[in-house]
Amino acid sequence: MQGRALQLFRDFQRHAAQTGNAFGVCRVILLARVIPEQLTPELDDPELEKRLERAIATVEGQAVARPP
Amino acid sequence: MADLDDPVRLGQFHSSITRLDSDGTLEQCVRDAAARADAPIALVTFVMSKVQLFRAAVGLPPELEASRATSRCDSFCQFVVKNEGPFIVTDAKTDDRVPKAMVEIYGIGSYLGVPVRTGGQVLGSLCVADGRERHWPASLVDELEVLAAKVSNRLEEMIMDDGRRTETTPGDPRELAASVAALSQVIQRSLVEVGPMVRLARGMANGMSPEALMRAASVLTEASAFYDEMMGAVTELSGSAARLQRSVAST
Repeated sequence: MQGRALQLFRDFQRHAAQTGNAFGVCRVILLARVIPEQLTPELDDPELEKRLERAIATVEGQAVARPP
Repeated sequence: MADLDDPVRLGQFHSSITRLDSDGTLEQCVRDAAARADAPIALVTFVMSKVQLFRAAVGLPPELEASRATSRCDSFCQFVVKNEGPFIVTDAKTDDRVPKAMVEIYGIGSYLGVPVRTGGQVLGSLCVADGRERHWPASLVDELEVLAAKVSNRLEEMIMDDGRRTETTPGDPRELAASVAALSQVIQRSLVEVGPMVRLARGMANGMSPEALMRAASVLTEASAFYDEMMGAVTELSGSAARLQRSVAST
């Protein structure tokens, strides 16, 4: 869907900043193989969206799995 | 006792086996393990340098199903690798040998894992887990070891198939060069994000309040997972560059 990759990334950036997940953004970049500056509102790339979803789930999942 | 950080062991984690797509043989082995143990959870795990990866799984809680990984220090499978043999937990709540994160967060009550090997190294385990205390039958170790041998054979096969494919089809030099360039750009971009954390770490030596020091240390403990992912990306980059070299040489 057009603009979804950008939205996913921005939402994650905000969430990472709020939760103090300092390495979250660099990990998502590496896991999803994504360059943030190339994510535009016009971009429509379902494959990239899937990679981002998976990367975000991995990073957030590990944050959840970490002991309190 | 094996060293979890032995570079020879860590060098076995080829990208051909650590990818998370479903594999029929591995999935069948975890289903068989769960059925034989009558356990809700069965896994093929890799105990990597900082994380434990779930390569095949049945019965994981939703968060772990999504992430397919936990911190290595929270894992029970690390003891299978350290011992290079079966590791059995009857009652995880009272067993002082095991970390308590999996018990407290996901209610893991008992565990039995046996080694999974490639190249003579223990990479992780085929294991079963239950939410309650279990006195696992002694025969289950033998049954899981048979399945673990199947898992190990399949992993060796995956590594060999990948090697053959890489060997026989180096690929189009332009495509390979583009892929090397794209991955280099991703690595460079992720390092830009790490910059502030590196500056933070350097600043720790220059006098910080105890509170700031605690906050900074807490941020930096997150670096290990990043390190694993960076190692994966750099290994992939190195593999692509080697293929590019062969491809250019063959034209």
